[in-house]
Amino acid sequence: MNAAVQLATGSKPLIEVENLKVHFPIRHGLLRRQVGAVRAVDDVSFNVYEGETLGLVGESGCGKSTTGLAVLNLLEATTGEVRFRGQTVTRSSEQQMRPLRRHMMMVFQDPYSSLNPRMTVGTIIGEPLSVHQMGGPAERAERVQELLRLVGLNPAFINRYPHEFSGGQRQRIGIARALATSPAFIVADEPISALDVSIQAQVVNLMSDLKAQLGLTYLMISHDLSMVRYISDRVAVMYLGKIVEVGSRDSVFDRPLHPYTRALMSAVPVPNPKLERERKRIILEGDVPSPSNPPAGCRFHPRCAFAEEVCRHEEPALRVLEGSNSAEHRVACHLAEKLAE
Amino acid sequence: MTTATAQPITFATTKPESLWDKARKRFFRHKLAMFGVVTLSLLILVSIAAPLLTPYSPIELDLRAIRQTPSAAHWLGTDGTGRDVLTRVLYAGRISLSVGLVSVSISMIIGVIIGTIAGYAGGKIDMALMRLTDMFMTFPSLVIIITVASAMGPSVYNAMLVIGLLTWPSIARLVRGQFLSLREEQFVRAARSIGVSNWEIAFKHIFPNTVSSIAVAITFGVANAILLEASLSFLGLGVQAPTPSWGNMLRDAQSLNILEGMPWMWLPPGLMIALAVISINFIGDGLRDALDPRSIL
Repeated sequence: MNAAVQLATGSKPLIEVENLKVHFPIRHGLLRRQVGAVRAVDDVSFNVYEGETLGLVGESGCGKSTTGLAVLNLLEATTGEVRFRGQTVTRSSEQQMRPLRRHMMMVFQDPYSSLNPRMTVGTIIGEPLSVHQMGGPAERAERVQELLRLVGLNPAFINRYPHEFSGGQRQRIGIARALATSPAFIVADEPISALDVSIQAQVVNLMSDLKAQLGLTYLMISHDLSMVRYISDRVAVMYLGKIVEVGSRDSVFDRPLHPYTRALMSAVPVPNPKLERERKRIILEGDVPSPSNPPAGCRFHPRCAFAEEVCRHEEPALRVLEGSNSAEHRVACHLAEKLAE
Repeated sequence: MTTATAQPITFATTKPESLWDKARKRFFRHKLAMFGVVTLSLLILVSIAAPLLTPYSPIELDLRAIRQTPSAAHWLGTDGTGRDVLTRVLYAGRISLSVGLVSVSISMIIGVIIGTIAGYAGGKIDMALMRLTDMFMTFPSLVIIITVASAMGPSVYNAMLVIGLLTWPSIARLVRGQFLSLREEQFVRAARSIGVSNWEIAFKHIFPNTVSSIAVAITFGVANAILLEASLSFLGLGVQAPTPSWGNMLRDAQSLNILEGMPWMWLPPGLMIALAVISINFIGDGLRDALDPRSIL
């Protein structure tokens, strides 16, 4: 995977996210006065480079799905900017978005509700083609069959309805739909979390095969660290609306710098009973604070075992570790150097 | 996790069968619904064929044959002015059933349009339309109908119009509710992520998913309209004498000695109302079960 790391530092970004904030207003009273905001995504910046898979991890409610939706402009960004191949995506109307949509698609978490129960598989997969006026009806039907074959389904399923399929098959249909227009970039929002464990590996493998075959770029949103480790080239860790650590997969998993990342990594079971018994778990105290009223300073400090005075007042920036030779492993922690020892 | 697992999965049968084929099959298997269909068709048929089935006129009086008990000449007896009850019940079916159908068509058109706009647009438009709907719902319908009927003059057409104009809120609310919940479904978000326009999302993705509940609401609405017409006519504000309707036949049989001693005057129209309403409701039930694509064969 060294090639991927080089890619990440050398090639140009396909997606650029700059200071993205997504706040949901909290309104009260008869006049619907705004009394606060849920800061689901609060000042997040990252790039996704051509041909890589960026894994976005964090516990539920940390804003990773919101980030994914905002990147595709399916949720409006409060401030900040997202660019696709240099073109601004944020704050553009649906008309302006339309020509971009065929290049950036999404695979959804729930394969049961993400397919319209009243449409046939053929209509579902063919819809992106008809929306973007790609080919005539005959060509489209042919393309749909090709896509079904590509995701490992029988092309004869074209006239069937979603309820006739299992979860894993439905997710394959969802993937085929996302691939119909030959997009460059796919946001996969927890694509396997709703599936049976025995099916998860199949879908992950399918996605990584397709990536290699079609030269796709993924933003893989997940809380499943083993899956992220398996499929990602780079990993970004989110906590309470912020990215706390980002770097190549191996450096983040082998040398996690942020105390939160360490706690997360320690929760991954090891498939070796001997090692598993000796595995030290870092158990975090307390709950995730409310994103409508995040703690001052470092957002992690109330749950951090190492927190010092500076953590309570000053918000740490995402930075490269001092004396580190890896320019792209960055962490948002005041004490990273101390803790690295 | 090893290498690819992309192998075609095959089913034993791959014969395509459309959703409508399946729905039709399920509907025909629904016993109560079939009972409803048969009964209602029979009612409609005998109403249309009434002139062929009885030799009497539903309107002309026969003062030599007042309040006769059922006999070979008058199967269901005669009423207070000597008219054959069977004949009148059959002719009344024409009026009552068409009032049901026409008024429900009116209320459905208004209800679906308002519900769709409110549910899909949301926000202030939804707010305004729903307050309007609430306003219509708080009207005590019978009182309004009585007022309108007395202002515009009682007639079948006014009854249809008024019933239609007063029953749309329930359909509007139903459609709106469906739109509101379907709008949040992942497949709507998926359609947006593909680039489908708002218009197409509303009509190609959401609307087809509401059709089954609208169909059910229509059947229940027809039953309700027949009952409303019956109460209107019973109060003397709907269909006017001498034209028969099930409601005004009941009204003509109001006096105590008729109720106690001459059941052939009020039992038949009452039974017809009950039969029509029940069979339409059974059809509605059957439709609801049949049109749900998730229900298993």
